[in-house]
Amino acid sequence: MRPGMFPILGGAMVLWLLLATGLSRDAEAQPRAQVTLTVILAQREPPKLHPGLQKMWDTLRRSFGDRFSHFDLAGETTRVLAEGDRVETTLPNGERFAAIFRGVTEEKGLLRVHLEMGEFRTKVRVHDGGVFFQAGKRHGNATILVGVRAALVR
Amino acid sequence: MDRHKAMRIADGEEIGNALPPDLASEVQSFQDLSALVREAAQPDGKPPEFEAFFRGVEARFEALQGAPVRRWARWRSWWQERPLWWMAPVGATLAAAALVALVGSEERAPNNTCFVDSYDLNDGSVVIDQDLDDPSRATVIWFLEEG
Repeated sequence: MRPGMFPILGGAMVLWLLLATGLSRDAEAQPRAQVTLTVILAQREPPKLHPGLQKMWDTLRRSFGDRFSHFDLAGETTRVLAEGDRVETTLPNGERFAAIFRGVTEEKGLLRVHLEMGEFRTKVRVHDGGVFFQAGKRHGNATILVGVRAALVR
Repeated sequence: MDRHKAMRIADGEEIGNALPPDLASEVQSFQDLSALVREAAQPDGKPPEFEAFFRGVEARFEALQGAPVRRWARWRSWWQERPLWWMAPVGATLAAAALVALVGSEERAPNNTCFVDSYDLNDGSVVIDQDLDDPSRATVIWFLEEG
């Protein structure tokens, strides 16, 4: 290799490093989140817990234990979302329910999630891996609960 | 009766002169038997050979002292003599593992604190049910339709 090639090779390596750093920063600037929508039909009685809800039992008991003892799984949808993407599901009453990932707050790293259900819109921030519920719609004798879990994909 | 007479003659309780041959033979056999029993029951008075026994023990002891002790035996002896040297670190490690398990399980519990920034609806009402003192309890956004 001729000595004159060294500056060229060095420059190429520096350029490659800059590009790689820039790409990784770009990847860091666009977080992705795994959002899960769990649709549950809840009734006061008889006591029941759908096997698919066993992993959520502690959360359900603590959040709804004084109102319901009957929890049936109506559906579960999971998607990995980039900023601006949405995950949707159809509720048992036919309405559409959507969660849109709106990025991460800079200060505390909270996940911004917007919810849409008919004319109803909500904007929330949750911790990584946190769960919250949207509830109140009726379907027959049951109340529809929608559990939303959002977790960053690393 | 001859048998009893032979016993008495053999024991010296009765004088036996000019005995018939069969009785004399019986007396002799009793005397032989008696001599054998006495020989077995009465020790000859010599002390046992303890000197040879102790020489053997001493030779074996000296051989053991001079021989290299196996490493495992040395370790085992060290551990047995100093139980605190291993009990203390083992106890501390177990305590640390239990602490890490407890702290780790707390870290694994998700923080379900949810901040509702805004909501928009045409009719009905919204109730936000949350307990900010208990981050493990999930927030519930109740949408209550009118009527």
